[in-house]
Amino acid sequence: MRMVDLYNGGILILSTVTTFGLYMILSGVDSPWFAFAEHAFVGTAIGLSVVVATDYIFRTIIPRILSNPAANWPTIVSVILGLMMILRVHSSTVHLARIPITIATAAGIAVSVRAEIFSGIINQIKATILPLMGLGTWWDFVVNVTVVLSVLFVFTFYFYTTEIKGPLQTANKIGRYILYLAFGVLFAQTYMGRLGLLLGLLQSFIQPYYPNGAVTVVVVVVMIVSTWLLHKRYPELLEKLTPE
Amino acid sequence: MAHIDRRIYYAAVFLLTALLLIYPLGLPLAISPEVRHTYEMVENLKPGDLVIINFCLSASGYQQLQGACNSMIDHVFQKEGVLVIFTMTADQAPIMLEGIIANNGELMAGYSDYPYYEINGKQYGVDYVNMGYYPGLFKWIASLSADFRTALGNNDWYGVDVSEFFDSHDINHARDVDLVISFDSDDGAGDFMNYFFLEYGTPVVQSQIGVMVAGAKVQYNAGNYAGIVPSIRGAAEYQFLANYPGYALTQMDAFSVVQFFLILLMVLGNVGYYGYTRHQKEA
Repeated sequence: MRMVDLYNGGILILSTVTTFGLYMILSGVDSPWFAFAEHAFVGTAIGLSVVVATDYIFRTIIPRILSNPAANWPTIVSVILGLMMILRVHSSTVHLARIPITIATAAGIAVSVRAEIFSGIINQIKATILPLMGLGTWWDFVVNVTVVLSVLFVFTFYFYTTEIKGPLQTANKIGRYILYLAFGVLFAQTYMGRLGLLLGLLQSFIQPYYPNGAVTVVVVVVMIVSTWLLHKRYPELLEKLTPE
Repeated sequence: MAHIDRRIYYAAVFLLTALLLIYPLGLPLAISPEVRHTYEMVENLKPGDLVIINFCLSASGYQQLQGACNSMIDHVFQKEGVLVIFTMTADQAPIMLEGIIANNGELMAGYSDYPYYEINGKQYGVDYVNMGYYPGLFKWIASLSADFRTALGNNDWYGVDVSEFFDSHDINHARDVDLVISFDSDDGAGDFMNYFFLEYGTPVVQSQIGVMVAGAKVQYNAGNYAGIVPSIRGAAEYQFLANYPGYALTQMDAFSVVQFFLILLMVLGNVGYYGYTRHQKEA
């Protein structure tokens, strides 16, 4: 067997263990495979972030400063401000860490606000001012009327300073139901996304049937049997293997 | 029904999904206007056009967007004379991009590792570059829109000097870019929209995970996104249009049947709950 086959086989087994280990939470019983997968996922994600961030500093920031320190003084100031964030670790220096946080927040708001006014407010308002006459098809009319009325009804739901009675109460109630519909759509989208994850994972585990499908079946059976054995025969060991 | 163990439902979903992946039914697939529009935008790219393909994608969302990544990148790389810059705004994304590149391309003659892959005849360093991951999200994208050379530097993700690529094609700021495609489990396209589209008019396309679809549709309707490819469903539609032999299409059968199964459970559950509470009251 070639080294590359061994490597790919190892990756397949590890990904199967991690994936089905995480799904074992659905069984409602403690599993060392879940504990392993959970801790490995968190540790790997943090480790990767640290490595990538460090690599970025050595790959980009340091060469830039060393190439021409005078011309790159803003980068040097940024590095100093970044290092000042570490001062949060001690109570006597925590106030100094507020300086880079303040600058980063202010710069972030300054950069984002101008664009957000257009993308988040003006263009959205423009998108709800729709023509109701001279449309191509009757369906376009239905869509545009639905958008316009929905916006108006939902607005009435957010009236807080007026007593809600009469026609306003009806509009308020319709606005509430429209919001329920919107939440339902969001939930369905979320479910669709989660199902998409399951589909993508299962596809990679069962196709091609050999070796992926066969390896997955063997690994999952081993995981289930070992968890069952730990529960029935070795509960003390199970407790040690599943730390909180 | 209220006394059925919930694990039976989970097992049913697992089994149903696996069975339909193994034995797809071949259910019909409707193409949505937004995915067709996105496909046509890529199809209409001309020689000399520049495309930024951004990955704001983490491992948790990769399986949803893998189909869109493969088919859309393959489609862009089929367009003769089109230049591509890969960027990443998520630290896990470089691993995924390498997988996509290896899936769609092959190593260039005389090379044995990344980044030297040829995709549909496009050579690394000549037709495309991979600039890698940059932290800072919207602050970096705002900086990139104004000055590519300062925001990107001279070296690619692998430390190779690619300044010649930018110099020879005179790539300096967002105005030189003809299309941005962002594969997102975080809102990378939103930032490109703010600083590339709103300031320079560069069209932005987003392929996003399921939980982001509703928000992306709002931006698409407002004209902020030029196109969207929503989650695994959008990927399947795109693969159909691009005639790409991907998995997303075969996954759609499982998708539809399991969704129907959920609707059935919800209806049965609510009817059962109504009957159960009524029975309790009567008792």
